[in-house]
Amino acid sequence: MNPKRREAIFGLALALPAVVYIVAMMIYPLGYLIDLSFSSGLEYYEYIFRDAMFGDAVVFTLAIALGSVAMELCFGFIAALMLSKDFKGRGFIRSLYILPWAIPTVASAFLWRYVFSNMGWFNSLLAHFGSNAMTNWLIEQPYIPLLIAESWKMTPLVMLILLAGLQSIPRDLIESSHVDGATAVQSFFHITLPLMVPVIVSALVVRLVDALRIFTSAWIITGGGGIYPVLGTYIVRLYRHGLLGPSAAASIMLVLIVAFSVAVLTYVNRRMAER
Amino acid sequence: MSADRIFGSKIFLVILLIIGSLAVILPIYWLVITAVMPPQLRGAFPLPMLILTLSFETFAFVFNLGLLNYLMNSIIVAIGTAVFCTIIGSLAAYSFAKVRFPLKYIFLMLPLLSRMVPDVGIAVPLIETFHRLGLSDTYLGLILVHSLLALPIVIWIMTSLFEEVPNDLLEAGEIDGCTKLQVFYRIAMPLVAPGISTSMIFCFLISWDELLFSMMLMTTKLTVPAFMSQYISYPQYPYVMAISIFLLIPAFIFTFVFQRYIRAGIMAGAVKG
Repeated sequence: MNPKRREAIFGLALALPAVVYIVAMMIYPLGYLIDLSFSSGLEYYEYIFRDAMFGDAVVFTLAIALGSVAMELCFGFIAALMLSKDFKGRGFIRSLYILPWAIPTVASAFLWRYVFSNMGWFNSLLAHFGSNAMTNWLIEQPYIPLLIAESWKMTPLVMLILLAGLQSIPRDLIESSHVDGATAVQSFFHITLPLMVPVIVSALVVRLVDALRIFTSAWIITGGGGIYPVLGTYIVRLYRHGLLGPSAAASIMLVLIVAFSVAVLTYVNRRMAER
Repeated sequence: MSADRIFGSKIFLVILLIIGSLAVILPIYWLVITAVMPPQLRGAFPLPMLILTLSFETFAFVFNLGLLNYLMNSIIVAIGTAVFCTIIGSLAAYSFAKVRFPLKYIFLMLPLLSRMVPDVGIAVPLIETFHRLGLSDTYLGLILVHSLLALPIVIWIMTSLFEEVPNDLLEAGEIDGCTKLQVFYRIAMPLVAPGISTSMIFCFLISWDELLFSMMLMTTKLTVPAFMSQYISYPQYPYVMAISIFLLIPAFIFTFVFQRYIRAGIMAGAVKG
């Protein structure tokens, strides 16, 4: 046998376990999912489109995903800018800021549910400062606890990605702009920010793909979906009620929404890279 | 004072750092003191921001609920996931980084694809299939599902590490009479040993954190998150927070001890993802 052929067989043999595993666990279920969702013609799709809660779930999912990713980018960028400066105790502060990300999702979700519950920590904090309003956040404004829980936990990740980006910007570039008379604000907007765009976009892609599949924190905070389900909790609830077909149709819609977002972001990213 | 003087000044930085630190610490502080608050204070409103006596009754209570069992289940599944993913992931990563073979570029797309497909999107067909195969409520079943979430990251971390191994070293091994497989496990694997521990920690943490499949697949061998999710209707927060503390201890330890490696792993995921 010639060496080239031997190498090809060797490579295929090494890759095979992982490839077979991913095909069995990902490609096969996707096919099965499509099959399930169309197993009564279009009936299951009609079911979810007639269900008002499905529309609400789509809107709520998009609102949570976009809102939390926007907050994560905003606070993550501020934190990364601070940590890119030299100061005493920077290592400690960085470790501290990673803490929320290290907390398991179930724990942080229960924590935020308690913080925003009727007699919880948030209302207590307000009461200590003299406010008497006892808002029942979880029932009246479930968007806010969920948004805060999600972005509190995931901001550190965005911060780390952006910090790595900031640290890869050559220092001389910014220093020479100062020599040329640029103010800190000017050099931020004309040098730092443009150089950071690719990093910001990659953080956006990573986070948005994950934020759209939000399940755990929504399941805990809304107590199993409640009257404000996201797509993830909506799917699980349909499935638990024995509505296999509609849950499959809703799953297909979620997969399509994620695929569409990835396609749009990839396209935008390419266009920006061309410019 | 001009705007950027204020922006660049030390005081501004210190104020921001304090606000950020409070935003991190305050919720965690609430989590901990809820678990150790004396029972008579629990129903109070407003809740005390400082407590002077601690009660550890909640910890005894959650252990009586069988927490030790659930912790063991979580540990078994997390370690199983780490071992399984690291084995099949590093085999594939080595072939992606160092071997020429047909179909490679199609295979390279697979981890990316499985990272993009939402887990909750394919949960229904996977769980149905696992029920039919008799894999529900088994450690093996849950390990197989958790590996799906962790495998792409293992492949990316290990591929980038294998790419850094010099080819000369591998060729020298072959000239000395090693087979290709021996070159892999005698020369390449020892060189990337630190990466193996990084990827195992990643797998462990992903599995440790997972709720959806753990609660859908398991009925008796519950992991800690699945056990906690049983409290979603009427949570008794002091007990839930006491369980949370046990859930977050290993996560904190791993994150801090291996901080440097975890940051490298995040970057591998961020660039490829």
